[in-house]
Amino acid sequence: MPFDPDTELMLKVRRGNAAAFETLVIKYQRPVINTVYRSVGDLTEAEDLAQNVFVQVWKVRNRYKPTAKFSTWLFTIVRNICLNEVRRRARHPTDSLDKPMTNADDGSETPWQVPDPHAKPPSNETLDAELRRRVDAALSSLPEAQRTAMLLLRHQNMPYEEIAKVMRCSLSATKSLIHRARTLLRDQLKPYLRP
Amino acid sequence: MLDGPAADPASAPARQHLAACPDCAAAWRDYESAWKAFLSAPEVDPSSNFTARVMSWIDGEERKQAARPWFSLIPWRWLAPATAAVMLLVATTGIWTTYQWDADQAVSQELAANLPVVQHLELLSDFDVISNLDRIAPQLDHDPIEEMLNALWNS
Repeated sequence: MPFDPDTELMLKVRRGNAAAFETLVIKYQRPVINTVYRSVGDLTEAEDLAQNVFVQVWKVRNRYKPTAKFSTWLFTIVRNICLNEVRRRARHPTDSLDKPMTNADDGSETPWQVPDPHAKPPSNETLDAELRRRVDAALSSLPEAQRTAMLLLRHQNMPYEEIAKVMRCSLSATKSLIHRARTLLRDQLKPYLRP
Repeated sequence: MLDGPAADPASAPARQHLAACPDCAAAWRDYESAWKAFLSAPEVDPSSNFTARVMSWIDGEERKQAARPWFSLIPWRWLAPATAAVMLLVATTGIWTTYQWDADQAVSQELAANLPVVQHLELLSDFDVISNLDRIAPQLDHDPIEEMLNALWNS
């Protein structure tokens, strides 16, 4: 395995080096928070869960073995924590004001919107913001495994082999997950994409 | 076409097909646009005190760890099953030993019943006598110790 500076840092963390741990937190906080945020859809909760991820890393530091890249190990923890959260929510469902409304005619879902009678035609900025919201909505509608694979691909530029390790599935299954996710994204975003 | 062997748009067969098939070309454009939209969606920024929060938790945890009394280091979770296992082992060994001891006693008693009676204990210091005990024992008809005790009693 090629030299991984993060693995080196994590080996220091395993010996109780808090400064090395802080370096890793600074480096990975953004991708971890973004991955969790896209999974749970709430920034405050995403930060709490991301904090939990790093706390877990510190708690189980003695179990870290440099057989895989640090990021693979870290995002395996991220995925487990996200999955636990998704399961917890399934056991204790709550209604959100942001929950999309279901259209009675065709069953399609749209975010809750209140019409503004004084609204001006949307600017490019507004259209971009709308597209971003649609991307988030499309992403959150993906099955968990597809969404996680896509997020790892995007935030970490992770190679397929590493994504397969995090997802605990074969390389071909990972490619298939990502392909299906991309197809679903395309189908959902198609009406909002500029020609 | 996107699922087939020509799925890589950089490949020559894919390029030829995309150039010739407007439907596939449109589908590929949508596919690419959606992917670009996904990639360009902005990331959220962590709050400015995120690292400080994590590190403060770690510091607190380390301080708690250092201040823990010695008995908190005992793995109570494992202690109860381990104690039960040791007790079970001791009980099993005890029962087995007792059974063995009873069996040994029975054998000893059986052996003792068949041993020749020795009345002259001083003879047992003689190796030749011990070696020929079977033949000597029936010939002895008096016990010198008993005689000595009788003499003492009578005096």
